Amino acid sequence: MNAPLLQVDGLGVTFRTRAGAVRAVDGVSFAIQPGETLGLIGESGSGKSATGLAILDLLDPSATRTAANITLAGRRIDTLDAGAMARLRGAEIAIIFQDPTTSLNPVMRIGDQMIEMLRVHGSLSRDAAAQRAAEALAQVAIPDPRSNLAAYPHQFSGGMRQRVCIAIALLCQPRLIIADEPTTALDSLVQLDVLNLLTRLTREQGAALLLISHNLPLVAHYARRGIVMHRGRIVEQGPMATIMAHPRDPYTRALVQAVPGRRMGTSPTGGTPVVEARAASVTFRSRRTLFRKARTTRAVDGVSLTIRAGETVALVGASGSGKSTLGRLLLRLYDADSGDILFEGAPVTAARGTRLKGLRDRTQMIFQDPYASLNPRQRVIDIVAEPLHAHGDGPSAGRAQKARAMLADVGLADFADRLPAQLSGGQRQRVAIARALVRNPSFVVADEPVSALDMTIQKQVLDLFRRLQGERRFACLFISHDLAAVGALADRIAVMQSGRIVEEGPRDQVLDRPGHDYTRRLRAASFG
Amino acid sequence: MTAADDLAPAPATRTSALLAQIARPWPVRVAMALLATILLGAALAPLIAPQDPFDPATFDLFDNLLPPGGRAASGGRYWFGTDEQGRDIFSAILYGLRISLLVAVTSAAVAITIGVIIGLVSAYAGGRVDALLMRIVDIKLSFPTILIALVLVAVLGRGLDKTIFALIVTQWAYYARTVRGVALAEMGKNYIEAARVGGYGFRRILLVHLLPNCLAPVLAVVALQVGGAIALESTLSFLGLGVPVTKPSLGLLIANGFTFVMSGRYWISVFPGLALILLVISITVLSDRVREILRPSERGAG
Repeated sequence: MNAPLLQVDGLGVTFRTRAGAVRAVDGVSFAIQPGETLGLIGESGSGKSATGLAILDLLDPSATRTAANITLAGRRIDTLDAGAMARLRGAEIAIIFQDPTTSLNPVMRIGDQMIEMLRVHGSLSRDAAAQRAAEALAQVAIPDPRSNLAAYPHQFSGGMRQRVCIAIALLCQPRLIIADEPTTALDSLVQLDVLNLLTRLTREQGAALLLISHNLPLVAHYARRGIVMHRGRIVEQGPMATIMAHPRDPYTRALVQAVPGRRMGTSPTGGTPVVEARAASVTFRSRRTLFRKARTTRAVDGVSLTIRAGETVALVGASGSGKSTLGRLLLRLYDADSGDILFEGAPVTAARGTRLKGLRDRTQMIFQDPYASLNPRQRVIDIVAEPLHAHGDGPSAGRAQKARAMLADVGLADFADRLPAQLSGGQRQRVAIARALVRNPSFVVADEPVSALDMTIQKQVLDLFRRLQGERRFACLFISHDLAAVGALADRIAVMQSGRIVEEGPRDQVLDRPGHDYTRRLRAASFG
Repeated sequence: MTAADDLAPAPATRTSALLAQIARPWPVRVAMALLATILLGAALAPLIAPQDPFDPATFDLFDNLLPPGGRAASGGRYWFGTDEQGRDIFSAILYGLRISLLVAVTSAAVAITIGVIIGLVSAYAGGRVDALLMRIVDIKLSFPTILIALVLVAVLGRGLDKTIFALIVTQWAYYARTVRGVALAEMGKNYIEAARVGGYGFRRILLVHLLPNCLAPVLAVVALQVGGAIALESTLSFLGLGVPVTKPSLGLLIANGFTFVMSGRYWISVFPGLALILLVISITVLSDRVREILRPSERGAG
């Protein structure tokens, strides 16, 4: 065995919080060989990010690093003073963060940020540094690198920004790159491009890569060896193939099983149509200001779609494809410019007053972000009882009883008096589901309902949602970019690109024999 | 294993627990004690004040301009001294506090109500309503506060009610602007959209969902504005345009003593001034803490 590039022994990180000291990382030891890609897998709160930051001594001031012995190529780095550590960062160990929007300085040109990096760590002249920066941009496939040096971060898309971050990380030829959820903020198609690029370039430069992610299949795809962290400790480490096939630790096993598998069979799709879109279009007009003319965007472009009682139609597409707009259009949160939306056979476009209220009663929505979709000042029981109140559902005692029964049905019987802030993300999403279903709607739009949740929690929430749908037989539009979750829930799939539905069909047909090129690329971009 | 996503059992917050939580840091406890003392003193002024400062018949002209601790002709002592008419400064402060608090709290309460309603409606309605209301706010905010107050009082004349009215006019726009900003941010969150999908009525969304989530930042402005209102009332009175001379507020007391400060008779201005400062500071500290606690994410912590 060669001498390892990075050796971490007994790393501990403690956060001081109002509730006392929290041990976020506890006795973590591992090694990375030169040129190796090591996966670090964990869910939120597992301490994986703190581990990455602790190596570079970049932890928040409220955190302290304890009892570590960290060596880089045989040299102790945990005892370095601040100046020596700063010289090491970027030059020998570089780090890439999750959000490329906030990790680039918005008021500085891309080129200046790259040249700064080179000149801080080397003695290149300005021109030579600019030359080198342009080469680096070309390496990460940024078109026209010379003139893009003068561009500002906001002029790039998210994927391009992350590629710029990769270029910056690789500039000084570091020996180790720490990538902390480098593609979680990106679309699945872009995610594939960026990860392929990152792993190829680190390999070409002979750098090692510590790939930190919550996404087990993704890590398994890129890393040969992996570490699984849970509540600050390493619960399993070894070859990724072994971890995936024969997880030994119970937590790892739960994690592996949480990768959504395809559900056996689909519901029969012969029910009566509940919601229908007929050649519907929505155009957004940005507000005209004193200094700018109004701009128009066609978010939904002549879409026809039928959703029948008891079936789940998955709406798949990249961000900006118009899938959320279509979902809101079906709920009449937007009005169609042209075409028709029918709910239970009647057009909804003209619905006002009591008819609109009736429509609001029969249709519901579940949102992606469970932190924003619940009124933070209402208790759980009041949140769930709110639709009953709005639609005059019986006397108040009866309403409370119904709300309690609904809460029990989503497994939150004991949480009635909590505030949303006192719940975890998964629990909040259960409350959102309870609120949506308490009046037994006939149509529910679920907009990325599990994408903000950890994998193991995703599985629980998806299982719950599937059970409730089986019992209550509502029609459902399940909006998602995650094909694995779609396979677990959908009966039919519609694929959306630039406001149009480019492919639609039964689940297995779309997943196994995609007819459209875009669907094929989406499928290739989903790991697992 | 259904709801076991997380542990952390948190008890429902009760009023006493909340109060205990608010009072945890010692500076807050000091501010609370101070504020309680001041409020109690003002409330019980007729019982504890040695003299009725609104009734010149009770003054003894022989006692005029006595320094703190000075002995009265009738035997007692004036611990805070007396003014040129022989008025006991301590009694005057207690009664002055009543006037100052009455003016500030009444005007703030009305201004908050107006400002919150305008802010919420502006954010919820958006478009032209929003643009119109906010331009009015802009116009109001572009005039110096003291100028508006001076003009109003000059036109309307002196008096308690007129001073209160002037303070309402100068304050509402701050609340409207703050509430509108916060409400706009809250409007963008899904729970408001969820309320709309749920078919909840306009009034219910505004009052049950939007309003409670906009109150914490309003409290921050309340702290500044109540303090500011007390100070502004004092300024107006100091300039001789606020409350009537027969009912001196803290500001008027300070103004009365102003001419004597130069001749070394500091107590006539300084003691009412100290009372004013302590009152404003304790309100600020306390409301700052309340605002911190009221953020839902802070519940159970701290």
